[in-house]
Amino acid sequence: MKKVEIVPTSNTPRVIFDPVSNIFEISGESRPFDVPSFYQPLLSWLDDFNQELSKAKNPSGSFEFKFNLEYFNSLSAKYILDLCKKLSKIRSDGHPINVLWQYESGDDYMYESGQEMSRISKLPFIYEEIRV
Amino acid sequence: MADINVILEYKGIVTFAKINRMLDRLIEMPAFQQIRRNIQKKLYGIFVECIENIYKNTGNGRDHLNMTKKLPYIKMGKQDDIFFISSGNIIANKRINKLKSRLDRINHLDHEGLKSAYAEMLDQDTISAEEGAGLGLITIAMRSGNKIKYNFTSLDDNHSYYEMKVDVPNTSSNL
Repeated sequence: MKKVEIVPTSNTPRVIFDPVSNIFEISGESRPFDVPSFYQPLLSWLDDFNQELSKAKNPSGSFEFKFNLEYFNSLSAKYILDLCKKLSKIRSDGHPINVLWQYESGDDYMYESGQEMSRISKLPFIYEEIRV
Repeated sequence: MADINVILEYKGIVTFAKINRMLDRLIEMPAFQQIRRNIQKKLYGIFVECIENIYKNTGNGRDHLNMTKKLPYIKMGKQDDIFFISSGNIIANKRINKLKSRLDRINHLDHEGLKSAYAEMLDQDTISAEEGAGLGLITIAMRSGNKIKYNFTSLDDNHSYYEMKVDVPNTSSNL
């Protein structure tokens, strides 16, 4: 599968979906001009990825998915939850995924929104507090 | 009453490019950089929700109305060791009741109640502009840990000026 690599800007996050290197990461700031257009291709990519995994005879081990977001606006939050739901589906289809949710020390909102997203999507998160 | 120290103030038409420029300027400002990091994050998050709210409410060809009636504004400042963000924009009178009841409902929730409301709204499949605004208001309340003060001033039979203000105390945590 073709990997995804999106260079960050001041209003869009860095995105890397690279199955070969097992690097899956969304980091930075998310308040794109057109939020649905930014996230829809990523959601579709995860659907395709799940299909590929299901077809593979010898699926690789677990996947590491890292969220390291500094800021996301409220509409982005909805799409980040959708990403979590896709990941949860991949996991429930039998492909182990470890999700790391990083948040800056003292950023209660980032920690709490992670908790809610994990709970709603039924996807366990490992939380890591980053001291700046 | 102590003097108000204004950190950033803008009055005028809000475009996406203008939001980007404003935020770039904000994070470079010494008055903002001096603020404790966790407070900075709260202020930044609230500021973005407020300015995006103005953008959503006053863009899309409604600029003419703002030019002729009353321009939107946003302000970040500090008074008596309490930071605040205030904003104002025109709103159609027919939208006031719904917005007012949403604000009142949010203002009655404690932190756990806000988290539940946030989760509920986040998990809705479709999102209209109105619902989007609702999620934004809950986010503002969660980030600030304070009530959202608001005011509507009638401009004419169809329009009012909607102003809101959110305080963020200069403490390490509101939990």
